[in-house]
Amino acid sequence: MTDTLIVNVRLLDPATRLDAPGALLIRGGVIAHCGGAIGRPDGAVEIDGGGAILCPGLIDMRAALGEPGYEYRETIASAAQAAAAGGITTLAALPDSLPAIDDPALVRLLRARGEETGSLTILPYGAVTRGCRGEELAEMGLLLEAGAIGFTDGQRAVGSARMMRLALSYARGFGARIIQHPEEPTLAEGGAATEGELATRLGLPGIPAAAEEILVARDISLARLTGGAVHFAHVSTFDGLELIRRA
Amino acid sequence: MNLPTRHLLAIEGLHPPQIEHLLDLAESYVLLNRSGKTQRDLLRGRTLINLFFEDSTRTRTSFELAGKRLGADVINMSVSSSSVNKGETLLDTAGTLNAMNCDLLVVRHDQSGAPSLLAQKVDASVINAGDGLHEHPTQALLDALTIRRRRGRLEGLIVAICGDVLHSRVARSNIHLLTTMGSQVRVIGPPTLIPAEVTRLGVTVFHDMDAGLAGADIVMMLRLQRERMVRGLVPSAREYFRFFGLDSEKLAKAAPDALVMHPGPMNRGVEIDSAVADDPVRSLIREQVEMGVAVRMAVLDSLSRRPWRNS
Repeated sequence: MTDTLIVNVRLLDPATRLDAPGALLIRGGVIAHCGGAIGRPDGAVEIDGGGAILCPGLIDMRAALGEPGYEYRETIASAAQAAAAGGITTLAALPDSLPAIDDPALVRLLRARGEETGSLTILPYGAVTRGCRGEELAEMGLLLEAGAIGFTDGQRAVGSARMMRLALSYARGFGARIIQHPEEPTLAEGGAATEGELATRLGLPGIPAAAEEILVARDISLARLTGGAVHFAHVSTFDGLELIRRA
Repeated sequence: MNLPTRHLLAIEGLHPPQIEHLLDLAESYVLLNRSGKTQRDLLRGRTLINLFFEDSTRTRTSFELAGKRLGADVINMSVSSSSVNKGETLLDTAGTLNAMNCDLLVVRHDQSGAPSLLAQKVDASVINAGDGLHEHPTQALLDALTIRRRRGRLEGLIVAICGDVLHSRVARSNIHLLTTMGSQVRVIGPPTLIPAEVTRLGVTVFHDMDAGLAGADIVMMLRLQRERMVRGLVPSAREYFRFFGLDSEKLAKAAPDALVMHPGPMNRGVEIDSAVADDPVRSLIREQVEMGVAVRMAVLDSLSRRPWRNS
């Protein structure tokens, strides 16, 4: 395998707090050296980066893939191309696909489909509830064994307080985390924008900020009750943030 | 050595000498039963009523046999509790039974505390044969007798109680008895099946079988009822068996000579593997049933030695 030298790039590596112009040498498929000025070894292929950023592969920790179920929108192959174009090498896939990722075989399938792309590592989330319907717990232990990295019902909130309690409690036994879409579903239903002046002017059905605050407050209480771990996938209200800060 | 009251409603509150007395007495009945003899003069002329508001074959039969071997007149009453207003009917039933001059009343009920309520209303000695999620004292006594006969002691043994502790009266009675007698008790199960603040009862909690079974002398499996899965506390039978079912591989984590127990009836392939359940060396499940009759004879005997009626 020939050496490859990439020159004229901005080297970025948050882990070592590196942010400097320089070059990077690849030898035998691994990074051999990076820094300000590297001499080109004999026979090395040189690539001019033209001042672009060179950094570790990015991780998209919350991606709704079209496959399985909505291949007309996106396939794993097309998602891998899009990811590569954006510097993303690892992607955590939401489980609310069709079928939902609520069976160990589907977790293994997603991992394998990622490997087939040659450029994208897919880390599947497992469903919290069967079919992401919010009614019965999914087989979290078996999903973890198959390679799930955590549990969420994707773009659907776990709406029932009882179900969220059970999920946090059960997941705790396996040291796993629940990733919640923090939006009280009965308040948010049918909404498209935060309720307020802008939604009123644009004529969009609103979702009150309280929808987020209620679910964040509730799940903080349930995490305390169960000793479980919850991660809020996205927070967009001031009061939601305040609740998390104080928790 | 007398029991604290003329009833046996719970293990909680019994002291070590009282428990030891019952176990010693039961031991003598094991020998009597194995010799094929009976002692029909002890409860001759006494009436024992098995009052079961919840289905049971094993426990009812065991009490029936115990009563008959001691010479009591035994009557079985099965009452459906679902179709009637429970509180009112229970008191009505108490009045009826009192009028019949029953001496020993063995009660099973799906509501915790029902035998205690009956005990306040009848003249008979009440024996709790399982009430709701509360206690099943004779099961804990028979388990203790089984362990003691095999290990010679209870003190210092590590006992792991595995499975649906939340809904188990067997687990609660065993926790009280074993901690009172100086065993180290662990409970193992998914967090959804472990009751709140159970460590206050003196046990250590584990959510991982391998960790919880490490070094255990006795492994007590609990029955997982199908309705627990319907209620969503456990995702599926196959997941439960994978992580909390006892098979040879998990049992290998326990002490090399660890013994396996189950109060029955078993769900093979859910909480226990057939190879373990039927292991002639490690499994005490059949022996538990034999000890059950002896323990119930001891309880009936012991209660009958107290001043009999309020007079």
